[in-house]
Amino acid sequence: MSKWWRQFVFELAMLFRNPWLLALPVFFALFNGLALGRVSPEQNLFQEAYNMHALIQTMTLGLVVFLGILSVRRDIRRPSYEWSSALPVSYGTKVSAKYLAGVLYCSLFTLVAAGLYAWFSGSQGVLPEITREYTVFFAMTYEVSYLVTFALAMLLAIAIPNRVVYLIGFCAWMFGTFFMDIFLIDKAGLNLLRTFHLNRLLTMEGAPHDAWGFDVLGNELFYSRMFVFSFTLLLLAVGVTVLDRIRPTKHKLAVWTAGGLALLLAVGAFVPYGLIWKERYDGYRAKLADPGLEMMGEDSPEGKKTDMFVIEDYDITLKKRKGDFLDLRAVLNIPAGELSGRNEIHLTLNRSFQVKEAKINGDPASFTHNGERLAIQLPKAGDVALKVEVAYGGTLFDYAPGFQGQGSVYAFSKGMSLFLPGYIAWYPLPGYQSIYVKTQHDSGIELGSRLLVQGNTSLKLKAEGFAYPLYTSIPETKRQEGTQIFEGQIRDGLSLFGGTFTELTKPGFPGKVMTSPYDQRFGNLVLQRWQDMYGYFAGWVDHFNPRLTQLLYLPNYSYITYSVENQAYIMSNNSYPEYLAKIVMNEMLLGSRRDEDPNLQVEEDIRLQLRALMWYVYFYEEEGYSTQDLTLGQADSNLLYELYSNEKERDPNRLNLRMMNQVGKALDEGKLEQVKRVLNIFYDRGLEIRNSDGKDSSEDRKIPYSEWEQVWKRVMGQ
Amino acid sequence: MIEIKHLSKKYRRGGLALNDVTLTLHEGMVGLLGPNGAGKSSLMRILATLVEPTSGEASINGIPLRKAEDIRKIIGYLPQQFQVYPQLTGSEYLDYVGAMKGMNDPKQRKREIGRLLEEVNLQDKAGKRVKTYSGGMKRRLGIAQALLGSPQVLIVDEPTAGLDPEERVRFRNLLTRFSLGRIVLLSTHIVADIESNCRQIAVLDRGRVRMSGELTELQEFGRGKVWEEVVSEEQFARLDPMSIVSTRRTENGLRCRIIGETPPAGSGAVQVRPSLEDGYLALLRSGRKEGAYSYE
Repeated sequence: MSKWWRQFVFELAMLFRNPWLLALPVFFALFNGLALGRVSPEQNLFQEAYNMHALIQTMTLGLVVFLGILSVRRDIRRPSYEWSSALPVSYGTKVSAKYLAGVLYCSLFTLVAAGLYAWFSGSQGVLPEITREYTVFFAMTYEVSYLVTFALAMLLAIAIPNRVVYLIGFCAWMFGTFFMDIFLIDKAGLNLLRTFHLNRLLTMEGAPHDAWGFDVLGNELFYSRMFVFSFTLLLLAVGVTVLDRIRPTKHKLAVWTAGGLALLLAVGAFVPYGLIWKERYDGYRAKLADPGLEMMGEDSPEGKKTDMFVIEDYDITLKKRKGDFLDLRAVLNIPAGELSGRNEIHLTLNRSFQVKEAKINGDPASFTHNGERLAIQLPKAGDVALKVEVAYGGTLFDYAPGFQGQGSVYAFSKGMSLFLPGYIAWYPLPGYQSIYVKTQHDSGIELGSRLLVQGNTSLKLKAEGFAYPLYTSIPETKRQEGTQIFEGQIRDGLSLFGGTFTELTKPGFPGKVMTSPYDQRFGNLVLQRWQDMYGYFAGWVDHFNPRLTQLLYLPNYSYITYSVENQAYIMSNNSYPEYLAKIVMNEMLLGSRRDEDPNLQVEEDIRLQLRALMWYVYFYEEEGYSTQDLTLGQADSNLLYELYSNEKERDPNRLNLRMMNQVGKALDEGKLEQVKRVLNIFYDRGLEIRNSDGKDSSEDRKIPYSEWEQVWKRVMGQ
Repeated sequence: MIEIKHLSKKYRRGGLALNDVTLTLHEGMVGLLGPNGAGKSSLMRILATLVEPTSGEASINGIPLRKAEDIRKIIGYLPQQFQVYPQLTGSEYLDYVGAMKGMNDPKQRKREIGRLLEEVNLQDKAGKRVKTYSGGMKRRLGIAQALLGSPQVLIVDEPTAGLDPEERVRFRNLLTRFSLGRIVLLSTHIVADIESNCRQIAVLDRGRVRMSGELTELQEFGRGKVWEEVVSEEQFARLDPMSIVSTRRTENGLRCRIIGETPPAGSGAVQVRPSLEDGYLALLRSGRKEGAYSYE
């Protein structure tokens, strides 16, 4: 031990007495600190830090490769240092001491990266446990990369006793960081090789984020690290074995045995990691091989929906069991007549779940579940109302490899995290809907249908067994320890989220923002502006009817693509607080315009222009724009666009301009209150453009231009 | 005692560096003499447990070569090429080597390092970084590291290369003192290095042992084969250059010392008593003429 310790101290001295090597962590700290210090409140510290570290760590790996080679070439296998090989010191001692000293030096970079991250995270007011989790993530990622890279560089130097090894080391660095990512993993789709990448940060783009932590990766990260540890051990063992093949030793058998054991350990550690990918690809390939999946076509880009019917209400119970198993029971009430003439009911339920039992009006019914298609035999009882019960369960990690990055996880329930988007069919959807569609030439799988429900349906969801609060797009009516109940009308699907979310509220304001820990500052900025705007509109809109009260702001998660869902706005793209606050306020005040007819003449329906005029007044009164400024388009053009747009087919007489000028003139004349009265009248008529069901469609609520003129004259004439 | 039996070494990309070498080396200073490429360094590297022999056996003080770790504990080794970490001082370097040799008592280590630095005349430079040392000083430091820990066997390969004449003498005396009760195996191609101090000698040429024994035995190889004569410059030009051992200009012409079975034809050459170098050269020449140990 004393020899080992002495060798270790000696190797440390070789590194730490070099002023250049001592200066590098200082430069690293300066760069790191400057980069993190420039993260604005609008930005997500974790995402920004992640992107920076992905690049900067790759740079430091170049240094690690150099140091690894240098540590060996300092004396081992150098003819002029042959005297050192005649010393009574084993190569095991030398290699391990060099390795640990080298890694200890590299750990300075890890310490700097982790320390600065923790400091910046703490100074943002992020909870200590969250800060700790992400700090440990960065530290572990750095350290694991350094461990394997240093060992690899040492092995290269041991195997190649020539200065050309520096060039080969450079190539290994380039290949192990950039080229492997581009050519082997992304282009060839060999995702399994991610664990061999020297910088794991570069191979997890888009996957880890601070809403679901690292649960989204499942156990991949853990098993990958276990493999890297054992692979590192293998590299070192091979290095010692190579050296002991050259220099005689009486411990040959022991050295070879250790090498063999290290190999077995590495292979053994690769198995669970490989099985994770096998499982993911098995599920993906099963979908690809499913003849029931539709091909994505031009005429049906989202797949087809057949046998649709109205569901009056849902009663869903969701229980989380051990091992991330989700146990569900859904009760669907279907009005009489909806399924007349059919001998079976067609539902859509994700294939990840196994249906245990189906009942119709309390009686067990036979069923089949192929892919997402769940067919339940109907009794011959005529056109009566049906109560359909489906009990099902399973674990969920719906993976699809992507052409770049980590791929996509369409839905999952892992550890402390839950992501069940409505479109994944985690509860039975009416009819056969295309949850997945095949891309052209069977080359991949994408998400299909987004229709989900027919008309307005009431839904009650009881969630049990979750150690963290869940969030969804309908109101939460009850929350007790371990149990949450949500009840409300759904016009879209119902998505369910769980994770390390932060709930931001303000006293007296009905809106709330749910966001990830590192978007808390952003969320607060949005909430503040949202509240300000709400206060303004609530001050004069007589019958203010908030269409939505929740904003779920999630970090950039590329496959969350939708915006409004029921009574929540779900946003995943990074945006400006002011911009997002206006979007949410717009949805809260005016509801959706999802079902607008792009060919409808303005003369027939002026709801889009009326929506814009509400904002016109806001900009005039609240933000201090003059009518001239607004005419010149100096305010938010998105919200006022319908007043400026020059679409001759839809509005040949420029009625939109006429309306804006009318309002502008009135405002200039000090008739603000009258304008508000006009707008209140139309607001009460309903400005949402949405086909909520087949019976009360958006078409029925059109407001023709003639009505505007009538109301205007009436109010202004008073 | 070092016992070497039928030792051969063949390199992957070269010829046979050692060919069936059998030697027994006793306590004291042993000279290993041979021209460049004779296999001296290969033999020393094998004995220093740096490489494995291709075949044959050897033992040092009864420890077979296969127990390399045990051998390393009792040897000191100075290779032909010697470099040291430039950022260390001389005493730091020796302290590291001492610790690696198992000298765990720091005080004892420091004492011995001080003594050795004095022996190799580096006491004034002990605190300076090695990168400031001249080639000769580095060489002396190498000698000190080999002697550190008083190894039972000292293996030094061409140790006097790069040393000035005064240092060479000093070094020879140091090794001679050190060899009392120990084996010092010194390889060189300079006869003077071993002439005054070695009790035993072995001559290697082209991987084979040409002779092994006492110095006088080597000297005897030259008996009756060494001639001296004074020649003109024209006569000198006609002499076989390979047979001339030395030349000295005198008032009457060039006094040449020539090796040959017979005196140079048509001259007044006088047979003289051979020196050790004459014996060594005569031995090498006779071997080459016989062609008995050509490379395979």
